[in-house]
Amino acid sequence: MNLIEELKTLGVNTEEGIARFMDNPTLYEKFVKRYVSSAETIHVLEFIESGELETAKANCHNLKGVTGNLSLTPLYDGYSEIMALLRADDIAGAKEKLEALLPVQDAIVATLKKYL
Amino acid sequence: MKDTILIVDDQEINRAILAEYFKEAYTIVEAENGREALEQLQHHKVCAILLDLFMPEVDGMAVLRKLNETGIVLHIPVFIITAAEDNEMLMEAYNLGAVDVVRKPFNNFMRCRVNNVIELYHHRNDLEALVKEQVEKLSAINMSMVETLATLIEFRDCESGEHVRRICGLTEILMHAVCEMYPEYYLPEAEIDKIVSASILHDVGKIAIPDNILQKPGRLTKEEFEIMKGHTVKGCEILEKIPDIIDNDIYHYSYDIARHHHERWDGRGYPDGLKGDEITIWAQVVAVADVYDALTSPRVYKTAFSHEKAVDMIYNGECGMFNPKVLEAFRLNIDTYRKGLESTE
Repeated sequence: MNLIEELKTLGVNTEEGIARFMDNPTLYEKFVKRYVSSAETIHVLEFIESGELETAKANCHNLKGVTGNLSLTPLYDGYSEIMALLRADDIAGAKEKLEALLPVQDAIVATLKKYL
Repeated sequence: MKDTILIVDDQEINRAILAEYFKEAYTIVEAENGREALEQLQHHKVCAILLDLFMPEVDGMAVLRKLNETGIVLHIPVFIITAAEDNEMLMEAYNLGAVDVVRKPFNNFMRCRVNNVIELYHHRNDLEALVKEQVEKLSAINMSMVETLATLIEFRDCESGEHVRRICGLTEILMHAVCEMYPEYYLPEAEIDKIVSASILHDVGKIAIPDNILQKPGRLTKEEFEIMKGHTVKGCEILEKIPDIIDNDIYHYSYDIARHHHERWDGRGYPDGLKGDEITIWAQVVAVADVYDALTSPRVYKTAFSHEKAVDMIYNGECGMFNPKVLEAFRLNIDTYRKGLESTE
């Protein structure tokens, strides 16, 4: 299996992603690999736990935007839901959702790392 | 040379994706926050701005407010790029002049939308520049027609046309001084410019005065003087017949100055015997400028008086009473005017 096929098994909408990158799979791969850095540097959970909710919201918003553009569908859907929960001040709900989402993100990042 | 697009987003991946979309057709400049975006705009002439809203330091809305204040949004299309669904905020962005909202995740239509809007703005900016150029050309032609007319009148009056130019110069200096010194007479710079242009036609009515009076070397009889005084009213009649050659904004100043530049502060001038501030400040200023220039210039009926003598005559009321405030502005600025004259001679 190659990267695209592996990502597809993880629920990533690679067709949509490739289409967004002008039907160029190589270009898509180049950019999707950059998500490793985003995932490692933009954190949400620690800011929810420390009560820094504005930073948590800003970071969640950023991850929503990036995962959307890369068609990392499970992550995009997850961060969209968490964003809505944070906006509705449902902090416990957001935290619960995020704790469920992080293993999914870890799996995608682990896959991406194999191809770096 | 390619046009330049400014991409503003704190996420490097988003900037890179957008850059990838547009790099073939455009030069790309990037900024990772609002502060950098405003800096980049100082250094690059851009044809479009793709602006993220949520950013550290200075956010997208603050950038948009700045672009709105400076009028940049009127000439450069600003696209908001956002993953947010906050309609209130997006409406505010539109109200501040954003041309469109590009939602994340991006799609291929976005490129077409951006390209189309850039093309529309190009056309609009080109048209605006063309209209501005044409208006400037027309205005220059218009002004030169007015100047030609004024010079012809001066020639009939055995003057060289220099009188008109001197009146304009002194009117400009005195109007600025009066407006700065006395708040009740304040006028914006643009209005002063119009008044200066309008002063050119102050004696347009002299074209209707017979040669034997206009060019009489000696003192005019009472009857002749009455006819001469008529140049103020005749001037207005002439202007009424040629309104199209004078810019609308200048026309009413020209009309007022032609009619009232011989009125005096104490009501003893002509043709209407207006008194004090019944006479507009611009007519009062042109009156002082006209008298000073007439006194210091040779005429068919007299030699030129010295500056000192002319000033004395004006202060003594020998040429009629003037507004003391205008006279004070004259006293403080006449040397500046004379220095300017010397340097152009």
